[in-house]
Amino acid sequence: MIIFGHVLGICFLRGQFTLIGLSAGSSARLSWLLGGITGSVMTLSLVGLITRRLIVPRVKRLSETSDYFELMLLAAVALSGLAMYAPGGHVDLPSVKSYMGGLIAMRPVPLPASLPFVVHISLVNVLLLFFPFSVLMHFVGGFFIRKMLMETPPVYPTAQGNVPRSEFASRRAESHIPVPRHIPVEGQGEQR
Amino acid sequence: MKIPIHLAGGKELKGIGVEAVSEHALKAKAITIIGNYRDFARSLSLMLENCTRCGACANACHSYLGTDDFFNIPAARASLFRKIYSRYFSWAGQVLNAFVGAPDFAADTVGSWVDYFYQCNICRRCALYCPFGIDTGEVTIAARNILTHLGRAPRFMVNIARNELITGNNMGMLKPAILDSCGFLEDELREETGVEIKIPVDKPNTEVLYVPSSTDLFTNVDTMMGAAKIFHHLKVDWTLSSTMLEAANYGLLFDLDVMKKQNRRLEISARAVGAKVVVQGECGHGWRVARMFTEGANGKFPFELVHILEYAAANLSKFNLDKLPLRATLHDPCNYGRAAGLFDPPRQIMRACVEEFVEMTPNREMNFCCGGGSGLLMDEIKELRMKLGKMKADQIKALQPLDYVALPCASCKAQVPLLLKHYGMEQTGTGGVVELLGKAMVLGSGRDELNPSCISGAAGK
Repeated sequence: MIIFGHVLGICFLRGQFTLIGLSAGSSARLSWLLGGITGSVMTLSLVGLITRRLIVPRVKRLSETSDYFELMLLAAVALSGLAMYAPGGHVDLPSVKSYMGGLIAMRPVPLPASLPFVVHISLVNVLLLFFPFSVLMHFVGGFFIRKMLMETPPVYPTAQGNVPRSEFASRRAESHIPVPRHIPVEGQGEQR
Repeated sequence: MKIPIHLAGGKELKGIGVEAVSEHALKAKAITIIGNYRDFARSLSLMLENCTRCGACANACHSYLGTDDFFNIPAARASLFRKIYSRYFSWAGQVLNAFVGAPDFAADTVGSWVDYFYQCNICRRCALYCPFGIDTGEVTIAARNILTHLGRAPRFMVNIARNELITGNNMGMLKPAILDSCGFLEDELREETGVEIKIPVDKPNTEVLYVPSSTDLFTNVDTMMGAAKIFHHLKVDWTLSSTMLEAANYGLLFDLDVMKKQNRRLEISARAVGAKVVVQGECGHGWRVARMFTEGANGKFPFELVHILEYAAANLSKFNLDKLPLRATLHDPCNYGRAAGLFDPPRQIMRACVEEFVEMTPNREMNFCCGGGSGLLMDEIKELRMKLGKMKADQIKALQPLDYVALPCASCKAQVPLLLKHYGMEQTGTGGVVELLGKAMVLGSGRDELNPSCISGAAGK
């Protein structure tokens, strides 16, 4: 929701809800409100996760320094984003749009001169740099594990030409492992 | 906590084709082996790299709940592996070391792996409670494999694996011994039922190959006799195979090479007797290997593979059953339920065979492990096993008074009687589900006339 909100909000300059029939004014207000709510929920959940890590003894013992760092980095990103809602933190949205557009089109445009925005985008850059090497990747990896666990179990007898559990298993079964024949039995071909 | 497990010596390891590694070569060898395993199993990277250390697995693990040792929390157990893995295989770990928790390979690393990965029963209950489904059992299997190739494996399991490689069964029995045991069981069956029930071995051109757990010929004979009665009553042409008298496959638990070789025997032996259907007996991890790993290890399995419980449940209406006067419960072995989805057949059989069937809480896929899984049946860690089985004992205690705990798994059959004794529940009997079916079955001229007391102390009308 946060990612979609950013993309739509910046792209349409808070006008995205006019597409579903709202007036420009109410669209801007709804976008502002939803952004504030999701940002706050994210911050509160992160605070909850950090607290849990600190107060449940066995989770505290399990935690590595990087676990705290990742949570705090995410919390800092959320807080700096919310800071733009604070009085005096307002950011000029059109200039953010042109800056992001410049990034995507590889034509550098100067940063909007707003401290909360500069802090926010720097932290996001740190996050994006660290993300692929961190445990945060579990949000992708979880789906791979789920897929692995949900693979259909093999059915016997396997029908001829039927792909076993997964492509991975069939490749392993057919190519890598030579099947030794210790006992020569006649009529083997028919049964296979 | 150090566990008093006996490790195999160099000579024993040679028996399963593993060379011992000297102390100074350990680090380099370990990193190479981890790298190889990582290339082979995509699951390992996923299971290690996705853990956020949220601690949701702690209360799911019977090992942690029973021993109260921090490193028995699945996430902490996997961390022992993850730290080394990140240090040498992940970019963050190589650059940021301590910051992401990736210390160097230390002198005590291998020792701590032996201690904690042999306190895990690979029951995979943690995978059910993990928000991402991270299966610490997968990490344990990987770690034990790596330890084995570093020359660190329990003597108990190495010896069993060697027996499997040589004879195809855990006991190391050769054909004369098997024939002798079967003859003895045939006599027993004749005495019990008055009917001539054969237990054929290596009979050519049979329809069904039955693969029992080899302990069924000695300690759990009632299960073997139950299976014999089932096949006899269904008039099935069946046989045992002297080259594959073992549903279990200890290779899965500590050396996948052994697993592959032992699993290979299944197809070879089935061909040798000309079977069309392979029926697996009551063995937990054995069924997991046969059902889930055969295809990946040795290619498509050309025969129909069913479990004896599925087989019996499908034919349940054909049996003439006389309900046993028992209050009985069923323990779902981890490798039937969570690993292979075998929940309903044992329940159908139980309901048909006993007067009062009660469920444990939790049950089915949420069931706790008995603490004897994954080959941890050695005598030297008996004290630890009692701790691992604490949750199971509590579950059984909550159902007292209870006559019978049905355990359709050979490892559970070895563990639970000890648990019941340790936690003061001697009055409760144990045994297999097939055993119950065999006892409840009315054969020939009827059960009651010929065998007044079916189950020691509990039955008898």
